[in-house]
Amino acid sequence: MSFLLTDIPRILPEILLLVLALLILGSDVFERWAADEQAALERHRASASLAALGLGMIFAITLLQSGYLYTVPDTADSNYFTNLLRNLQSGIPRGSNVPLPVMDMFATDHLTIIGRLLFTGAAFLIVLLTYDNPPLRNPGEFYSLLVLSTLGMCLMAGATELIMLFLAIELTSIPLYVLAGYFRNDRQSVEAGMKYFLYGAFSSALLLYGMSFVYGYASSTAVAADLTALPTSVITSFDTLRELIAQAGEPAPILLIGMLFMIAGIGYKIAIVPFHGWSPDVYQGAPTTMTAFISTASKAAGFFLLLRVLDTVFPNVVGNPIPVFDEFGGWTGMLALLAALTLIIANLAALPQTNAKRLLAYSGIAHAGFLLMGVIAQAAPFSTDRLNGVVALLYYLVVYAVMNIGAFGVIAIVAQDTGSDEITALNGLAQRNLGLAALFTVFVFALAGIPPLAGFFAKFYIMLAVWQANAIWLVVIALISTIPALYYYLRLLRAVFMMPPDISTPMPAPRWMMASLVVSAVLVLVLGLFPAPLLDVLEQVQVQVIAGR
Amino acid sequence: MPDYLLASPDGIAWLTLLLFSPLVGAAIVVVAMLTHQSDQLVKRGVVAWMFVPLGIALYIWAGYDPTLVRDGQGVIQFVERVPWIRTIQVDYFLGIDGLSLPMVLLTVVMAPIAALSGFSLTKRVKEHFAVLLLLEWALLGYFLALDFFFFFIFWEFSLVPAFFLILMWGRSNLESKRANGESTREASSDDDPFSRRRHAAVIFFIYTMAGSLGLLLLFQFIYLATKAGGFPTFDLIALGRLGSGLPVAGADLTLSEMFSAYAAQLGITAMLGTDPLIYTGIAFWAIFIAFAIKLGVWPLHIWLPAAYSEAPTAASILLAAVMSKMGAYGMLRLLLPMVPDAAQYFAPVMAALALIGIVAGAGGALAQAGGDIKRLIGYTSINHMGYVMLAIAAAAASGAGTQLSEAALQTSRTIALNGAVMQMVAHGLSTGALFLLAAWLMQRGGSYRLGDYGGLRTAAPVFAGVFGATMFANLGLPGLAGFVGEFFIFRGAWATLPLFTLCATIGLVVTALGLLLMQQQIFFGELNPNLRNTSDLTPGELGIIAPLLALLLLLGIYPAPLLSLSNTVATQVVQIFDRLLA
Repeated sequence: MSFLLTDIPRILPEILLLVLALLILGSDVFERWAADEQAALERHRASASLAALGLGMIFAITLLQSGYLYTVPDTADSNYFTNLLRNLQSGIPRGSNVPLPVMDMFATDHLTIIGRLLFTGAAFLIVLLTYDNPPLRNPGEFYSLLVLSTLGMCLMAGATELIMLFLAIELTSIPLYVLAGYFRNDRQSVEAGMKYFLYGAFSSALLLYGMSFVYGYASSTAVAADLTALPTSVITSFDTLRELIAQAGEPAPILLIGMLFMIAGIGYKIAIVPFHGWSPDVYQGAPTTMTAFISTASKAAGFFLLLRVLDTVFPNVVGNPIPVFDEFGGWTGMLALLAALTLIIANLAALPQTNAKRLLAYSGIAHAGFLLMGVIAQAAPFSTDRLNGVVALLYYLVVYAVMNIGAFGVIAIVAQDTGSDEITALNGLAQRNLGLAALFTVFVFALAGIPPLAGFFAKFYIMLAVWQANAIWLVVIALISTIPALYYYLRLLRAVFMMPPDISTPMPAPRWMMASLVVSAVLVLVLGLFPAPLLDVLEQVQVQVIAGR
Repeated sequence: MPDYLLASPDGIAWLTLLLFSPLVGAAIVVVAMLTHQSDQLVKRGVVAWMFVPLGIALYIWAGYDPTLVRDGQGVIQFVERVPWIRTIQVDYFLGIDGLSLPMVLLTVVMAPIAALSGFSLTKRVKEHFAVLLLLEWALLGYFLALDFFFFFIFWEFSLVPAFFLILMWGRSNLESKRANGESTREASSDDDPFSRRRHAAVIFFIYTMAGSLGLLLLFQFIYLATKAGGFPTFDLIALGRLGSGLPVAGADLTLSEMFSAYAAQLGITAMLGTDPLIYTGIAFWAIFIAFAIKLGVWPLHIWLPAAYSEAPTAASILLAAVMSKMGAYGMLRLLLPMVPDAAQYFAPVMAALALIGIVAGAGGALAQAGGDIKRLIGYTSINHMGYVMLAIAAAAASGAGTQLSEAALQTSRTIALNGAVMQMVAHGLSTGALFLLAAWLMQRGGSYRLGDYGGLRTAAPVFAGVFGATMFANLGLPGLAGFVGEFFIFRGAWATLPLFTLCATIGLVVTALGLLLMQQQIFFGELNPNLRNTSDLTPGELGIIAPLLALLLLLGIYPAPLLSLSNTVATQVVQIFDRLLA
């Protein structure tokens, strides 16, 4: 329970993120503050470079620490570098040896590490996208909020205790509310920030309400329970909750209601139907780069959280994804219904959209439907199949992040040039900047799931996982839903390649934005053609319960 | 490796070289784009580069031994197999046999012809040629890949370059409207967003994608069924052997037994029953629909006339000559070996669809006799692919009720399948040539509408001769390749499906009429005064079309090289049904 000094390397990435956020905020003070444009640009560039460098370094350190690239063998000679690496990698899971959570509330297992890599990587690409933006009013504030939000996401991925979970969600969300409404003079941006805040506050309330039910149920059963058999003395820890729920036998309705409220609360974060109402408005109004951040990293963090909570706390109410209405189907049954609704409604609602960001918002909701299928695969009877579900979900999250960042990045460049994010703003992009049009084609086809791009393998693999949970009906719905999806993605490409542009001057593509897009496009291609290395890493994920249920 | 797979004799990965040479070419074109080379250089460079895959394919043909048979099937040669995604047992698995080699040769021959047809292009030339090379890559990959996952990647990816070719370089609204004899007064600029080519491209893409959903779903089922049966695989050859009752190392059950066992495990049997034919039947339709769309089988052909007619010449040539063969290839590779019992059960349905396609395609062609020449050729394609479909149905049909001996039936089936492969190649060559000639006609007369022409024979006699020869090859005049294919198909199909074959002969007559009317419209009658100065074929154009005509003539009088390739496959497929009936 107590904090040990040896825990410090285990939470090093989080510590570094916090330091980076404070550093960005503090260093901005030492820049030249003047009213002229040059000074504003300098301040913007300084904060952006610091954020990019910092996030890049934290990504590299986390990667080094994870041991996915290289683990120091026990027999290696002791010298400066091996000692450094050994210390760095000391608290990291190796094989079946997974260390206990830090202070019973923050796990540093493979799921957390993959989460850290995904969130810092996404944040890094986003910061690159913002580098060439027109200077912001308060760049220090902007970038430190972004980094703080990333920190919150890492905590979300690792939280193993209810209070920690809630704090992590709030730490992620509150900076995002501010960032969504960052353009104070833009009414749409203000509206987006306000809406996001109100919906977010409401979802937090739902989540808290559900947590209180679950906690209340568990602590009342604790009176009769065998307390010595509990893994920890912290009653809000996921492991304790699971044990208490298991000891209580047949789950009572109050527990299920608590679980439903928790799923609803997290459902807002990951924007699934029917909790998706905020996302088109927020995505449309927020600064495009922040939309990319909200739609990828924030959504991914929600899925990490959902997976861990459901799998660790509620393994005995897993149910099955075939909706039978005369008995409660457990959480997989409920999620299967939500996934089906999400896939159908989002793909149909995307069809008439005329705003590119709004269209991508609905496409993001539809992808959340696919992602839910990875969680639903937890109903499979064999642990290898459940693990496949987790691997498929994580692979999909990584791929979804890069392709969506790419697609929004192109919209950001176009919007910066044309001042509009309608689909018509994309008209004639192929004539104005063929390279950008080619990148956009890669991202759009990846989103549509055309092989050999990574989006195809992600969909293929996640559907294969859901088969094993017997949810064939869901696979069929998911497959059919790709056809309207293909249609609206082709609409984007039609604008790019076929419509005449309003002006035919070449469209400037800022250097760092393009760098971010090229990295994303290369990842989309490489992950699609060679998914094996990433899958090997992801297969190490063993949330203990998944293996042992 | 099992006996029926044979690696490249000299250890060089020839198929990989063949497969990736177009992709390297596309990369070179991109470099040329970035360094602002001249369009002329790119055009010539691409055509020259396309001789690389052609050369490699010819080398492979020379090294291919069609007589090798092991373990009950023709040996797949030049095999390369490397594990790719171990988690789901996907391999990088290339190989070539008597079925894929003719298709590969057709692809590498038609690709440079298609590129040459694009020489008159002025808009976005480099992009056009890069996309064309991508299309060649996808087509080669489709015919070479022997692992379902890998195969499916090319199956779907081939849509992407074809989509862009139609969307960006397809004919303008003005040309479309004029070809259909509509008023062109309202047709606005070239970039009219609501033009027919956009419609054609989108319909083509979405239709094929939607059709392949069942295929994707089926193969997920197959993978999981084989996994439950202890032999998880996407290997098309192994699956074909399992389906047709040949032994595969490591697997104890046949494919149909695995289906039934997995269906029972999923609990579907409670709903659908335990008859294995139900599960193989579902599999049959999943495969059939995907490939029938590509082949243009009635009533799934709706996308075809629009796509063929709106596409630019290069894409029309590759679409009609090679892409439509993807469907027939898939049926021979997947459908017949994997679910022979269902194929036999549904053979009359396949034959009926083929028959309707044959008659409807012929009728459609006849209806266009004064209209759009590209649409007319598209309809004759539906008709000709109907014959291929008929041959496949005839090979699968049981032939019960006929008085023929079992041996005679087997021979007929083999002849029908040989005819199908022959027809695929012959139709590819002759239709490609027809689209090429249609494009040249357009360059001269400025219209695709047949009614705008007349009496060109006097102004362009060589053109008339070449056009006539190509047309006769297309409609199956003896001595030219089309005849061999059609004759074999009718001779073979007669044994098992006499009634259907009899009715299908109507198609022969009506298509011939449609094609002859086309010839008559363009070259006979009174010379349209606007066309008096029409130039004849240039030596350059003659040089492009001559190889196609030579091949058509050569295969017409000496089809043995091709038949020796297809015969192993035909025999092998027929043996499946032999075993099934025994």
